[in-house]
Amino acid sequence: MTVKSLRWRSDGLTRLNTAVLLSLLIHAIALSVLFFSPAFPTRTWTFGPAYSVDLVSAPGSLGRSATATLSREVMNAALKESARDNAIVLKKSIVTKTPTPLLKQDAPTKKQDAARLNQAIDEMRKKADAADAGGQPFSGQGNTASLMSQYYSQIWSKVRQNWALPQSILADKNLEAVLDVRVLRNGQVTHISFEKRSGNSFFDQSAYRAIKKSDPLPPLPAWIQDSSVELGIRFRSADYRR
Amino acid sequence: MRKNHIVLFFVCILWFVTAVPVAYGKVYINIDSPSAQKFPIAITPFKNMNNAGSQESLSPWFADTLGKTLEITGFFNILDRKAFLVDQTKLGISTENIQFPAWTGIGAESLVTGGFTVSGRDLTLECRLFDVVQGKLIVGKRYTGKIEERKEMVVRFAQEILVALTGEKGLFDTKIAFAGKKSGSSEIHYVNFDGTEPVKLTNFRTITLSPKWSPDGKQISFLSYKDGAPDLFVMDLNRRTARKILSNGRLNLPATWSSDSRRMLVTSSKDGSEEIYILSLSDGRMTRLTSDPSIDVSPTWSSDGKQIAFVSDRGGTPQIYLMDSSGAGVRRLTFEGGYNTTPAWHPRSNRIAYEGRAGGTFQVMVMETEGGTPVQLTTNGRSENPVWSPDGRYIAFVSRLGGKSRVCVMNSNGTNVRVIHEGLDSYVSPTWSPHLNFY
Repeated sequence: MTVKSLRWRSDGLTRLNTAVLLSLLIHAIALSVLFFSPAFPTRTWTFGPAYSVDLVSAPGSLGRSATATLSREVMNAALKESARDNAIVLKKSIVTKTPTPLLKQDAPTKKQDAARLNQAIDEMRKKADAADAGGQPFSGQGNTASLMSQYYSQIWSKVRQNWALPQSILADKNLEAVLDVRVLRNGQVTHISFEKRSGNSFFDQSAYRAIKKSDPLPPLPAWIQDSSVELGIRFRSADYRR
Repeated sequence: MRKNHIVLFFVCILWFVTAVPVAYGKVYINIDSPSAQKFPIAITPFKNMNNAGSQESLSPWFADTLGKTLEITGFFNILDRKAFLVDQTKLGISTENIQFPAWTGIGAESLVTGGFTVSGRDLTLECRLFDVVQGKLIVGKRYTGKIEERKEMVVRFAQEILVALTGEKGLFDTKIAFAGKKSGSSEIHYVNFDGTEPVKLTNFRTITLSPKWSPDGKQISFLSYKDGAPDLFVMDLNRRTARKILSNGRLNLPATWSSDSRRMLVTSSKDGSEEIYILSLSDGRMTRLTSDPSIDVSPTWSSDGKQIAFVSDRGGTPQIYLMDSSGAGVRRLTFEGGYNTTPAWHPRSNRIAYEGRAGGTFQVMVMETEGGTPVQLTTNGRSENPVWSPDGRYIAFVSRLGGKSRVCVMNSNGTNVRVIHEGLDSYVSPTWSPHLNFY
């Protein structure tokens, strides 16, 4: 015991180091507590692509289960619902005042954006799950999610609306194409490129056309501070192919 | 050691803290299915190039015929001409004259313009397909011939459009044969993919069943009682002559041909119960594949010829089983529904369409050969005997609804159901020809 403490005391430099290390350690712990605080869902901390907006697709074919049809209906309702919620939130700005000044003071960062987005996604997932389970889909819907979900839902909805591809022409493979898109503040699309091609040129072309036809996309909302954003739009056939 | 641990912990924390912001760059939006199942396409009236006054009616005829032809495929949404914002026949039909935004503005992805010149009985037709979203010409063709050949010209340009937008020329040069029963006798008939030109192939005035079109397109095999027993015949479609290839006094049902049209799978009860054999057409030799005392019928080869799907009641109820092409390695595929028959192997993938019991009736199902959940494609009435088109994008089947039997074709996802033959008492066993290249 003493030997140990002696060794620690014997070297002034080590003591200094220790102090510095301890200080950094405390900072690190404080930081990690901040990061892992319950306000941020753990889903955020991935090192792959930042975050994905995974909305429930509307199945179009006849050969779908009743559950799928239900989830489509519910999902459409969900999108409408969230849009309506936002309208209400805007009107009720006084009621929801508490979070608003906080946001202004803190100036929303990308981190917060991400966290809120994930909350939004989680809520949409929950809704979808609830819908699939046949339960009550909208109980206790929060407002925080709406801003995020609304913007990305708008993009999702517009691009999907413009995506035309007959199911029967797809081969027996699950295709995925990822297109990289840069969107200006006014919604104008300035750049479209393939981050990943599917290997089926007809599938890729249909995805490219869908984005082209969706230009201009909805203008960037106020909570995005950059003058333009880069989006990845991932087109997939797994749910669709028959 | 302990110090090392502290440093290591730190490095981890620092790495974590610095690495996380990198991950914030980009949002990914996943879209798992298109909202539109069809390509939106605009077809302008064709331009009368030499203003032959008597041929004015051809201008909408070309556009309408091309529109109807494309519509049959189930891949196109033909935009209503009333919605058009510009008149390309006045502006011009070649690339430099196309007002692309006026076409994207009404939701089109593609545009077809055309022009024709008539002099005497001679017709020159030029057609162009544009990608209006990217503002470019995709394919342009000029056809010359007689005015009577105009339908053929239109179908050939429809094939060009299909190749350009889907990678396959479509099935306009294919036919579908089937057995049709009327007043006690059953004969083989066939009809074009679009339901035109029905032909009664046999006239034996007896029971003739189970036609199977050979992959070379030149022959159809079938079972017929024309000589008193259920014998197996092959008909040469050019000469219209039927040759008896299997006769033993027992039931002999033809099934799938091999891809080289030299062998076929048959079901025969020549050794007692119904068993599956490979019949060599050159020497009539039969190789037995199944040897279970139960009934084994309806064999179908996989696209690569290495596997066979068939129906057996060895488990108590008729179910679909798979085996190697040698007859070894039998395994059961279907477990749901209690009654699953008439399997058809997809020509390009490992999917099987079959007729399965669902909700008290029979419907067309599709299932992966690795197993999994069957997908029910049809819902109305009773749907039987599915067969795939040569490109695997369509299924022909027999529909029974409201006391009537019909031969129908649908897209492989169950949409776009069309009747291609009706009017007889009942239908069974459709079979799809390969490309016969008559367009």
